[in-house]
Amino acid sequence: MQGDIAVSTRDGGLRRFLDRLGATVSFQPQQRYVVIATADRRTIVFTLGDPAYTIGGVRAQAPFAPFADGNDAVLPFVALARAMYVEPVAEAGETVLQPRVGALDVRTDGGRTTVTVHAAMPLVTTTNADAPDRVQLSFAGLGSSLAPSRRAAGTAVDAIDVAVGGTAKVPVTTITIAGARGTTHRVIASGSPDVYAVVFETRAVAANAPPTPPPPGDAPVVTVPNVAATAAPPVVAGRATVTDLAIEPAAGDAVAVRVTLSGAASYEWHRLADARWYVDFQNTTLNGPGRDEHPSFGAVQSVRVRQAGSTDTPTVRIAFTMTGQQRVDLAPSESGLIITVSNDATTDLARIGTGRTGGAAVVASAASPDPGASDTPLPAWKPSVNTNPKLIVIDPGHGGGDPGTQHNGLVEKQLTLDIAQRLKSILVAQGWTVRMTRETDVDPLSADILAKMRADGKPKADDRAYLQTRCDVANNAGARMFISIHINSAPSESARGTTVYWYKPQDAALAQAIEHSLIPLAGTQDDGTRHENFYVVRHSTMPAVLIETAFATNPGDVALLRQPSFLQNVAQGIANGVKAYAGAPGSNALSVNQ
Amino acid sequence: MLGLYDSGLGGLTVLAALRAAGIDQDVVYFADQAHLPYGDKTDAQLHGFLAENLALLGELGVDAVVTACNTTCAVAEQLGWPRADFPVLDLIATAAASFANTPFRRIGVVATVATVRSGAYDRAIRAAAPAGVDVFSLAAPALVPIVERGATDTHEARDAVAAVVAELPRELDALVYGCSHYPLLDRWFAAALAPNVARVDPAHAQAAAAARLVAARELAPGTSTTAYYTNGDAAAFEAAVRRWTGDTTGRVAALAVS
Repeated sequence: MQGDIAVSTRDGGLRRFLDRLGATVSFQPQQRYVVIATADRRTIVFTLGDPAYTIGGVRAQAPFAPFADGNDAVLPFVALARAMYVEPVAEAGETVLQPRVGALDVRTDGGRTTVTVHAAMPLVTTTNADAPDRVQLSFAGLGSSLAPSRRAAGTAVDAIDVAVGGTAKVPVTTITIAGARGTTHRVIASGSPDVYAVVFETRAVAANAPPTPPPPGDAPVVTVPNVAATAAPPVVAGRATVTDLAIEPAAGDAVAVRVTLSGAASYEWHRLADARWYVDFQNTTLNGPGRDEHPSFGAVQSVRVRQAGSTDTPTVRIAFTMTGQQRVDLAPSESGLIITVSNDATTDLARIGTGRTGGAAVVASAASPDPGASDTPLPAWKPSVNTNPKLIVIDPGHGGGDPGTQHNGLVEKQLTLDIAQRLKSILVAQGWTVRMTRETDVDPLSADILAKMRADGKPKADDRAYLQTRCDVANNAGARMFISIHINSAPSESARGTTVYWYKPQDAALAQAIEHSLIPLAGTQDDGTRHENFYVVRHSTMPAVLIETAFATNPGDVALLRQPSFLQNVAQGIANGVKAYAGAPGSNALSVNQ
Repeated sequence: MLGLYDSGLGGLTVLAALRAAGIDQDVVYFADQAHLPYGDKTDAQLHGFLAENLALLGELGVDAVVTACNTTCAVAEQLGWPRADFPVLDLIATAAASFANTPFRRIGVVATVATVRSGAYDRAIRAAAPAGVDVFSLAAPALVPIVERGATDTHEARDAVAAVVAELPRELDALVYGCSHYPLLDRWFAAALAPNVARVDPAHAQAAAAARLVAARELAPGTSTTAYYTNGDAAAFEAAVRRWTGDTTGRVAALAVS
């Protein structure tokens, strides 16, 4: 996606997004910097007016520069999301914000190689180690932006392969790490729930090494999923055991599953798209073999209980297959956890939650496991979809009794209509639906507005509201974007070039895209994009721009404006900008609800 | 006459190196664009493409084949080279041999998925280089399609390269272009890598090896002309060939896919 989305630090959606990922944003009016601190202690710094930004000190480039908007800053959303390992992914006509495994560090120190996985969200890991020198990690709910394959010959790790399965909404990333021959691996405390670390070392080194790698002093060991104790003794302090599991009918044709725990355990539950639901108890073993139950009552078709994870990081998984998307309630208690599946379908399809229960830990579910919580689940945060995402409205400036600027034999209303018609043909050929605010030399005025103007007795020039007719063409049809075409003029002959004006934050990315695409084709001076209160831009509800193509008062620009090839190039340049901004028609590039 | 093949345009970097090394042999360049990109194909498929490419160049009467595609060399290292009655210069082997006396200790390789998965570069460099050299290879499947689309001078290319470099280990001494497409993105690698990281294009080692082969087999001098064939879109291929090579006279033609 070449374009980006302008989003204000005031925007509620952005706030929820950052909250969800445990990140904080700080911006003081009058400052140049917007600083975002992520849950895994990285810092993302945007600078107003500069498209370059840094992620943990590493420079990156956004499609447009952040800018101030009153007491808030407007940021490039996609760039920010990517810096936090979240990628907008299109699937089945909507855009899903997919949390991802975003980085994989491989560090070697002598005979020891540490592989560290960084992700957007706390990792729920299923570990499958079929040999000491090989481990397979599955991260449910996360996609991946990692290279699919890498090797590190000479270190304790031979090869790392990354595979992504599932769907855009329910992805699964599997990372297979093959150690060099004769190595052993173990999971080490990473200090952050978003980070998973595994170390491979040769046996000789392992024997000499201290039994425990020094965990970071502030590592919240207990609450971090996947943090194993050191080696793998049969009994580990702090490890809980599922001692009993009862499946009973409950009030209202519900099913209650009572899980009895020997001690405190952290858990994390997931709802899958296909009417399955499961909970993993971390650092927990199952007292006895796995079970498959098929209750004869309620909305649960099957209950599966399995020992999962590795010896170092045992996990007990309890999985339900339900008849639909039923409501699931969790009640932590001193003795364990009661999971109630009601018979009623729920519309709250929260996908993930965590908590801690059993023993002294009771309740205190950090991230609310309550399915009724109002928090919008991240992947379900859909962009607003316009009524007609394939429709572009072109507004040829002026018309009829309003000729616009007239210099050097050029008449603005004729040139704007000419460019607009050329643009329309190009966009239609690309598959867009195009509507124009005028197709001929008329001044579009709706009967309502005409009547109001007459009633007010105001001359048109004093009342810009007559332009509302043009905005309404786009607003009433739910257009994807609005493009107004104009010709500039100035008292001085020396003023020349092309400017794309925008007003609302969501206009900025479109303006940038058009400016970037238009200048190389038009060959005019690049006067940049500007924030200006133009009526048609301000009062169109979708991303809108006003293009001042060239000056009818500058000799160089006039020569250009007289050439049909120039007008064609302008139209093509605008169309290229539209493509850079929105991709192909109907492709559901994210648009932010304002 | 020398034969070169690649999945697409990447091998043109090897061709350019041959010409820069003063090799005047006539060249037949074959782009197997019908099977592009090679990186995501299975080893068995790639081995089949390799055999077909060699057979085709053999039919065109080449005296030797200078491979310009790393992926097929990686597969051949595992599954064996198909029989050919002319010498074939293995790009990965010559690239690795150039590290025989290398001062580098930490060498990165960027390549296609198939090449990285094979481990051929890692084994070859570690076999050739002094003891104690570490080789880190990383698959970069996003880059070949960008080059084939002609999008090398775009922000997309810059960002894709930056994303690859971000995944490489820190403190590399050198980075090897383990796919002949990648040198066409050199400016972006130069911008993204630390300034002290050497960028190694195996095409130069391959050109030197080709020069030795031409001398050793006493091939008759050529006319420095190149004929370019594709089994893909001929018009797009011709435009790309003219643009990349600056060769305005070489014959460009489509070959029917057998």
